Amino acid sequence: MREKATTAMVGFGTSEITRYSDRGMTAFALEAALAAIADAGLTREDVDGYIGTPWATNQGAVHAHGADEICYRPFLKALGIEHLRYGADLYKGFPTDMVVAAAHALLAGECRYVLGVRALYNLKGVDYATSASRQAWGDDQFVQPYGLGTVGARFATRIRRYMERWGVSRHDLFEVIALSRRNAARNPVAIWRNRQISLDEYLDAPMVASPHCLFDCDIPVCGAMAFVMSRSSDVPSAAAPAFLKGWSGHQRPWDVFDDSGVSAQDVDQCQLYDGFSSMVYEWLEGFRWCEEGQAWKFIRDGHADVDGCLPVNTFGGSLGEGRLHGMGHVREGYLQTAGKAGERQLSASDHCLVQVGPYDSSSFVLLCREP
Amino acid sequence: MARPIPVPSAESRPFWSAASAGELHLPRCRNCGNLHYPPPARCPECLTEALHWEQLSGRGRLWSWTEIFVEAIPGFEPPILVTQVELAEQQGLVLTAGGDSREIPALTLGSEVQLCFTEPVDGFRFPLARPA
Repeated sequence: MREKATTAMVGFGTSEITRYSDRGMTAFALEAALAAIADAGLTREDVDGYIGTPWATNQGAVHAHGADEICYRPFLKALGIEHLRYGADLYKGFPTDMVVAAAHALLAGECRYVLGVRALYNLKGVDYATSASRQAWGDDQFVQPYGLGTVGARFATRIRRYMERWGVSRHDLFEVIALSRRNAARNPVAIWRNRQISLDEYLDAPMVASPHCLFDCDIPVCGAMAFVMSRSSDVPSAAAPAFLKGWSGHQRPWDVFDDSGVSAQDVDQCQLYDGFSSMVYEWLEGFRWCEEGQAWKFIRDGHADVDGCLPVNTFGGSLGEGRLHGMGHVREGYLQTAGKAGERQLSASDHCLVQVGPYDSSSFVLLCREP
Repeated sequence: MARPIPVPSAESRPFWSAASAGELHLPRCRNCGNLHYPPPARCPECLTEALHWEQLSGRGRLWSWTEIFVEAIPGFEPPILVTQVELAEQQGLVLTAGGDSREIPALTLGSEVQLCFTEPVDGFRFPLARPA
């Protein structure tokens, strides 16, 4: 049992989200960071901690700061911050890992207000999905020669096996995308906010890595999001807080509940990572909201809709909003439990579980209305 | 076809050397007796470096597969079939391989397959799953 968590998310900012842009990546990250600081009722001078996850996850990435990655030291200069007490970038981390790392820094007394920034950028002239390398080093030598490391192929083989085993069709998988689009309609920054999708349109779409077609993959975008966190005793007077009551990693997933005193049955809503549609099934079953092999029915039958028993991805998920690598999931967890979700606000929003990452490397945070 | 070419290390070289001779070899832990794929630096169970390479039958069952329809590997004409094969010698030991799009998707999961090897590409041959 961990000591009772005493940190809160106190502000969040989202930049414009667009497919391509003439603006550089730093402009997006600054837009999000400044919005988050203002949302918390703070100024730049109040920020004394920073946490980021720069990694551009696509095969064709150039991995350059300000091009497709935002790294902590040069970004501090762009923000004009000169007296930071604590800062770090998490290598290949997820936004949920950022939340946990920020809590660690706050609980250790390193700093008072941590800014967390995650940005993605869709570069023109770079082939997003293609590995240009002619050689495969290290672990890649057993992955890249087969194509398994590209376009979610390893998740495609996983869902293929699930579908064969449990009698799931692509009609059923479509229900995940349909749910995302329904919810994206209430999200003003979502890429697909004005675009519902029909089953025919889905079935006619080009395959990417079977059984995933184009619409099973979240769409690459230019965009950035940022949060501000503090200890619960330091919540700014103008801020609406959501309290971080638990967290865990994939090797001990249930710790998110065991350490918080909140049970899986107490959770009102979930924001579940959906970089590929089939990933949404994983933790609905992993946390036993559904029996093994039944998550697809849960979604098909409407239980994950906003009027269902466990609303999922109420902002449209990455599939509806665009590929912010799970940061949109954190934002929605914050907005819902802080009572700031506007027309998306659910009446039951005391406990929101946020999960980001693939089935075998996810991390989890529990955001709550009360400390 | 232009698959990325492996850059072997001491730990993986026996796999690629055997493959270039058309054979499937994997390391077995001398302590716990488990086979491992991909070849590890140490047995992840026992943490011993006492790994002994041995030849396997190449028989197995189709674990899963996907067909990639984008040009994920430059010069490699889609669709690219990726297979995963559970090897006959050890339950749960799943190896990645290629395959032929005219053969594999017609199979069901659990179908018996036999691993063979591609023609050499810059001296490397890669396992392919074929209906047994």
